[in-house]
Parts: sequence; structure tokens; C-alpha cells
Amino acid sequence: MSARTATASTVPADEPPVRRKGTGPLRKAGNYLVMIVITLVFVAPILYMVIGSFKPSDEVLNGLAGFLPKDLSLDNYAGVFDRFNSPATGYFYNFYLTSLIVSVVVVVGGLVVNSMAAYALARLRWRGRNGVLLAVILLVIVPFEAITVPLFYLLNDYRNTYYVQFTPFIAQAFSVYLFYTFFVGLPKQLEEAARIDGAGPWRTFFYIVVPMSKPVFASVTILTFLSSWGAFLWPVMMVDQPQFRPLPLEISVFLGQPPTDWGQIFAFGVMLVLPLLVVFLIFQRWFIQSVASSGLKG
Amino acid sequence: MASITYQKMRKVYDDGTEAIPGMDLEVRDGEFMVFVGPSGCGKSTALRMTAGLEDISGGRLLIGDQVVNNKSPQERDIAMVFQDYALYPHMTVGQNMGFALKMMRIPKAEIRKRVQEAADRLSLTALLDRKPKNLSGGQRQRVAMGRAIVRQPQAFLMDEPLSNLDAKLRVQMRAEIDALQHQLGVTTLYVTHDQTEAMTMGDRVAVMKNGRIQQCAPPQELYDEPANVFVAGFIGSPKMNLFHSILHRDDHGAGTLQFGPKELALSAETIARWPGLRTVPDGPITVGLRPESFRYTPDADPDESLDVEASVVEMLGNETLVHFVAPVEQASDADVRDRAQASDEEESILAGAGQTIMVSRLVPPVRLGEGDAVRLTLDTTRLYLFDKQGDAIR
Repeated sequence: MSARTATASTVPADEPPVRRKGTGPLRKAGNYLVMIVITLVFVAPILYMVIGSFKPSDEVLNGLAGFLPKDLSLDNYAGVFDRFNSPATGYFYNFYLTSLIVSVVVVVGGLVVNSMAAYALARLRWRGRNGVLLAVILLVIVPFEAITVPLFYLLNDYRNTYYVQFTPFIAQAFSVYLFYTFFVGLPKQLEEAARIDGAGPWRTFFYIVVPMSKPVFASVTILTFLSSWGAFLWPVMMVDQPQFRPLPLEISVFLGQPPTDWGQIFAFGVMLVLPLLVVFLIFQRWFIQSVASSGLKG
Repeated sequence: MASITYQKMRKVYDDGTEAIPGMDLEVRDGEFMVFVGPSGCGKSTALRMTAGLEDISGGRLLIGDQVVNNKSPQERDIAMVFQDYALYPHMTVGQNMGFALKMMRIPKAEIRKRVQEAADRLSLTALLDRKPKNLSGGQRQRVAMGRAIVRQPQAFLMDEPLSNLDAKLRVQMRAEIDALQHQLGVTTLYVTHDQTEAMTMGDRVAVMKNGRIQQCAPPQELYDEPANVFVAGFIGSPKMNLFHSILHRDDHGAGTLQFGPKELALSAETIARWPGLRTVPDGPITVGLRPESFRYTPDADPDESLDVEASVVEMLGNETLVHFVAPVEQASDADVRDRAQASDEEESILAGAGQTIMVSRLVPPVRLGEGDAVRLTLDTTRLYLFDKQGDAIR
């Protein structure tokens, strides 16, 4: 009571209370409404897919009513596993395994190779460094589609293997460039302190630089996993045996196979997206930090 | 512990810039040596070359009796404290302090013991599990010191380690570093641009300019016997009043120095204190006066004193600083060297003209206001004289 009196007494009676712009309840409600609409626009297709994956196929295509969750079941998920359960069609768990093996190797291998290349470009002094850096920057703008034909001839002997699916994607100019820009911005004094403390370039990199570079490692992990998990063109060209086919390739096959069961296709889609969501949730904290600090947008 | 010896050590950058033309100096075993000078004088470059962070372009650098020109920082067995402390942000205080030992593959138990000892010494024990971001500036500075001492190195190198602290903490840490260095007896190279730090901490101070050591001496000697106009102007706060003058000597060995329209009388005994003056002809000369060479003498004979108007008065409690305009031309290191080429006649004309703001330090303090008339007397036995090249006449 006394506190309230004291607070009230500090405001002169003849002066109207100052209201900060954008804090009124109406304005607040308006802001939230806009945010909810925008969020719905982005989330609606995913929500539609997730809800649809638990409903029979005919209900899924029932317009907006398809959004309403009723009679939910896991039948579509079981159906997906049933349809891919023979040597002719391939096994669903096998597609998952292929995508997982390829993506993990591309991400882990890419983090090691690209970060070390970027560190060498950012910090070590060696002849030809500027030329290599220029080449990396130029390679960033070359689309993968432009080099698929030469790659196809180069790796034709390795068709239908895991090897052919991850090898071309481990070294990535864009990842090198992301690491490079981050490493260049790190304070040099810390690395100098490590040198004084007796760490060579390797130990400086692994003990000092890597732990300080979580945001860029998270960004590269998410971006690489995203592109690797969703790879389509390259597997289409290089893989035709079911045991080496990744998930995105199989969902396209699924779409073309009659009878078209949308519930099962949605269930397949959910299972396709799930690992991406997990990876993003794990690394999002550092990813957002990186986007905020490096100005990497879009 | 070891000595550090520079023998004609040079640093030339790839673009041809010569940062250090040739440095000769011996830092004795266990000595606290301070490199001081203005920005860009080469003091940090010399320190980084000592650490092995910059290549040495020429000459030799010895730590102990070993030439270390081509040795890595680790092989030189030195520890460095950086200006921004350079604490590893992802490691705790304990891990930061033990990192160098870990790199040396020292057993974990020994690392723990040495880190604990250093932490006890620096009052860091309670902070060992904290990350650097959770420490204050002073605590970070202590951790940086701790990281250096756990290694028990041959030498400490410190690159302006107090410049990020506030004034009060700086004074406290200055004393702590000084005490620690004397306790440990480790050879220390300390770089600073702050002459107070240099004067209070160093066993010897090397004053640098343009990559060259202008003078290396104990602090008091630097103050009392500056080797040239640069050192005279750099050391001391407020700095020495330097002005151009004309020297006249009579047949009896006495003489005068022109001070605007007045002449400062120099007795034969006073002149005899500068044996080097015998080889200097009468004529243009540069004169230096410490602020404390002035005395407040309101009752003195006007002919033997200086009547000035106080333009700025700083009452500091134990002393009063009075700034006033004097009818002389100010001298500095740069213009003394420029004017070394001028003829004596030109010099005489220039020396008689101009005005400069001088500072006097009056102890005990005197209550004065701005614009007050002040009568000052000069202690001519405490003059500093410099020749046309700016070198001290002794």
C-alpha cells in the first residue's frame, strides 16, 4: 500500500502518463494477430501433413475439413512399412539407413574437412593462399547441376554404393566460405596465447578455435544436413538398386505407384521430415546466434 | 630465469617498413625492464619478436645463452600477458591456468598442484571453476598473471596488461605485479605507453622512439639525466618545459641564457657543472626546465625573478600547478632536429621570438586564481641543456 502511494506521488498530477509506442493492449493484440497469421501460413502445410498422416486417405483430401483431427490412427505408418517390405520394393528401414549414413558422413566429414581448409585459409600463411581463396569464392556460385555430368563420368564405376552418394558432397565451397568468414573474425590474440602456451596449429585449432566456433559449426551442420537429407538429383543419376536408395528418391517412387494413398504419402513425408526437425532443434540455439552475428540471411 | 639479449635485432615488414632498425640491449637475469614510448615506437613489436609471434628480420635475439631467432614461442620458454588478457572463453579459470601445462603433457596431478599454488598466491582459489565472462576486469587480469606464473618460465612478457583497468584498479594491480615479480625474481619485459607505470615498476626503463632505444636507465636517472630532448619531454608529469634560447659566456666563466626579453644569469660554478659545455660554442641552445624548478617568491627582486599571469591554476592539494605564457619559443624533439640545419643567425632570431605555455609546480601549495599575477624565481642549477642535435650537454 505504502509502495503504491509512494509511486503515485512521484507522478505529477497535471502531466498525462507517458505511454510508450506499441505497448497499448490493442496494438499488442494486433501485433500478435499478424504474427499468428504469418506463422500459420508457414506452418499450415506441415500441420496438414502431420494431421493427414494419422487419417484415412479419403478424409485427407476433404478440403479444409482435412485439418480437423478425428479418427486418428497409426495405420498409414504401418502401411508404409508394409508397402516397402520386400526385396523388389526395398525395405523402408533401408532407405532410412541409406539417408542416415550418407547424411552423417557428409555432415561429419564436411565439418572436419571444410573447417580445417577454412582455418588454413584464414590463419596460416602459405604460398598460393589468395588464389585458393578466390577459387573457393568462385566455386560458391557454381550450381551443383552444372557439374553433375562431369561428376557422373568421373564416378560412374561407383554407381549403387554409399560411397558415390557422399563423396562429392564432403568438400563444399560454401561451407569453407562460411567457416572462413567466421574464423577471420575471431580475435587473433587467443590463438597467439595458445602458441605461447605451446600449442601448434593443430592443437590451437582443436583446443581453442573449434570450441569457440559453435555457431558456425551448428550452421554448417544444419545447412549440410538439410541439403544432404533432401538430395534427389544425384541419387536419381547414380542409384537404381533399392538397397542404396535414399528416402527422397523413394517418396517420388511412392508417389508414382498406384494406388495413390495420400495418408501413407503424408506418413512417409512426416518420417522424412522428422530427422531434419531433430537436427534443427539440437543446433538451433547456435544457428540463430550465428545468423544474428554474421548477417547470414536467406 | 634467464637474461634476454638483443644484438642489432631488426624488424622490416613485407612492405619495406622498418619498424626496428637495430636494437641493442641486455635485460639482466631477474630484471624488470619496461619498454615505454608513444604509439608506433616499436615497443610492442620488440616484445612480440621476443615472444616469437613476429619474425626477426636481422640481428640476434638470445634468451640465456641460446640464440632463439628461429625457435617457436614454446621453445623459448616464456609466458606472456596480453593487453586484453586473451583468456580462453570456453575454459574455466583453472583450465585457462593449466592449459600451457597440459600442452607440455605434464601429469594431471602436477597441473592441479601448480594451478592451486598459483591460485592461492593470486587469491583466485574461489574462482577456479568460473568462466572468464563471469569475472571482473581485475580478476581477469589476475587470471592472466596466474596463467603466466604456473609455467615457471624463463621470462614474463607483458603487453600493456593494465590498460583496460580503471585508474584505481590500475594503481593496485601495478603494485601487485611489481611485488609478484620481485617475489618470483623472473626476468620481465613490460610494455606500456604510461610513463607513470614505467617509472614506478621498472628496475630500468627503455624509452623508445621510431624503433630505437633513446635511453635505457633506472627511472630516477631517466628523470634526472635525460639523454636527449625526446626523453626529457617524455619522462615527467607535467612534462619538462623546453624552449629555445641563446647562450652567452663572459671571460670569467659566468654567462647568461636568454629568456625572452630577460636574461637568466648563470654563475661560473653553475656553468662548471656541465663539463660538456666547454665544447659547445656560444649561441643557440635548447633549455629544459622541470616544473618544480620554479619557486613562488612574491617578495623577490623583480630583476631576478619572472612576473607572469596565471592562465590555468590546478590546485592538487599537496601542490599547485600554475600554467602561464612565457615569452620564449617552445622547443620539441621534432623542431630541435629540424632546426639543427638552420644557421646560428636564423636560430638567434627564432629563439628571441615566440610564446609558449609553461607549467610550474609550486610546493607547498599556493592559493591562486586564474589571471592572478605571479612572481616566480628560477633555480638555474636545475636547468637542462641540449645541443643543436637535441642531445644532452653534461
